[in-house]
Amino acid sequence: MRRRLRSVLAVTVAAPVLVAGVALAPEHPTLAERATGDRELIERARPLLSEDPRSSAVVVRVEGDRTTVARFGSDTDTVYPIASITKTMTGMLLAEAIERGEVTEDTELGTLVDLGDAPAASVTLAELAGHRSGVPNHPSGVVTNVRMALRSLRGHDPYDGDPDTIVAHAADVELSGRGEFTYSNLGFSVLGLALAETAGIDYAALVRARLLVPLGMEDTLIPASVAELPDDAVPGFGLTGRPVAPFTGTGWAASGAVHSTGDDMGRFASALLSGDAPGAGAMEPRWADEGEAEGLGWAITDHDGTAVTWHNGLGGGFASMIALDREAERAVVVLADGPIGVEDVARRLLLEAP
Amino acid sequence: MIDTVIRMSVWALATLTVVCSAGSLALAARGAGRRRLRDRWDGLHRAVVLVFAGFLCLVVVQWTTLPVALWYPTPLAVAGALAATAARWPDLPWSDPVEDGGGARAARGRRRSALVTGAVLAATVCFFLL
Repeated sequence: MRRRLRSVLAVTVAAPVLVAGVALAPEHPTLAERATGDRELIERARPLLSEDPRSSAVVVRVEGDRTTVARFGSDTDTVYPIASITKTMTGMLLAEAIERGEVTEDTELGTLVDLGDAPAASVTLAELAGHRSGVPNHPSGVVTNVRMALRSLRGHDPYDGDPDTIVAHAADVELSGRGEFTYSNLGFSVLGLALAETAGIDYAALVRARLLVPLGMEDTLIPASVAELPDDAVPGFGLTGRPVAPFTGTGWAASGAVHSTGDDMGRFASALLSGDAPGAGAMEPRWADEGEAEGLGWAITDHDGTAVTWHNGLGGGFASMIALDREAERAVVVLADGPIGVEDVARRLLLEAP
Repeated sequence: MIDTVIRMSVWALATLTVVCSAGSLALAARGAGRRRLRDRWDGLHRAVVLVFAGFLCLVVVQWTTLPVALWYPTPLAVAGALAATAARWPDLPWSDPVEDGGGARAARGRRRSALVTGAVLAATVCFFLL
């Protein structure tokens, strides 16, 4: 009797644990079987995208006047976060503002936003756009960084905060390694706010007016919160496999909050190749470091004699990459869900013969 | 390469913690002597610690970069140890204040540990899921 009771208790406790273990088992998303668009590009892109866990992607290839698109588990109006590719747009806004005579490359940040006597007040707009200002990637302060880490751990967007918060962060930081390349989300965010301040409108409105509308990128948005995303926006996931919130917001927007579609990014890439894009001069190299060069928000890397102008994006459950071979008038854009970068996918589609 | 080593190391550390805790609990449930389960609060405390370790294994390991098969030792170990504890349950008093178990104070300590650990587990689950 007692033995039977023990057996019943053991099974009663173990069974739900095993069921939970199976139900909660991590999954490896696989690329959607459903694919639409150019057959050849689908066949080339699928094996490359399938090397890592992701379920949805769009690939755009521009060659001269011809644009081809391959969509995996997505439609023409499916919106993806482009993450740090946003920095290329911020760099182009700076180049455009210089052409308009609103600012110069040497305009100091402190003349555009109120930083008082803070060290960051003396950095120039070009230094910010070239990641050479010495402004660190994240704000200083243990509490702020612990908060960002905890938000990230929970799958929330760690880059929350309004423009005033970002300016306050910039006023607090000490500069380190000014003149050397140090990737800075904070630097780009405050650069975008400074350009918006100069134009007298907010950053989202500035991007819309000077880039998106002229280029016909009608489906591209800069959401202030997740609530502004379309209902059918692709959900992203992190390295643990759990859902992760995409980057949105107003304070950090200039470093990574733009969301776009494959078609719109094709228009963007096409305009960059033709030189018609406002602020396209941002792609011109200004600094060089051992085989790499940087423009205003753009990187230029030599690949066996081919100069590739590019920027990637990673975070908020998504990965992205834009790569241009300006001499050959070719470009590739890849937008995908998942926590693994798509840089190699884009480069291979750009540089390898079909 | 370094990323892969780090990911595997995190998995190994998390899974080893679960397996060792499960082994320790299963032996305590079946054994006699100083390491045996003292009372039901002792069993509850160690069971909650084990479930906590299993939950952390689920939420901190980078599972999208590892074979899914590496997950299953965790629920198997947890299930086995909890089954052993449940089988021992009818024989355990709720609180065992005998002298060789540390006395009444130790018994109260085991109850407190079980309740505190349970609260920490609940708070951690809420932190990750809400």
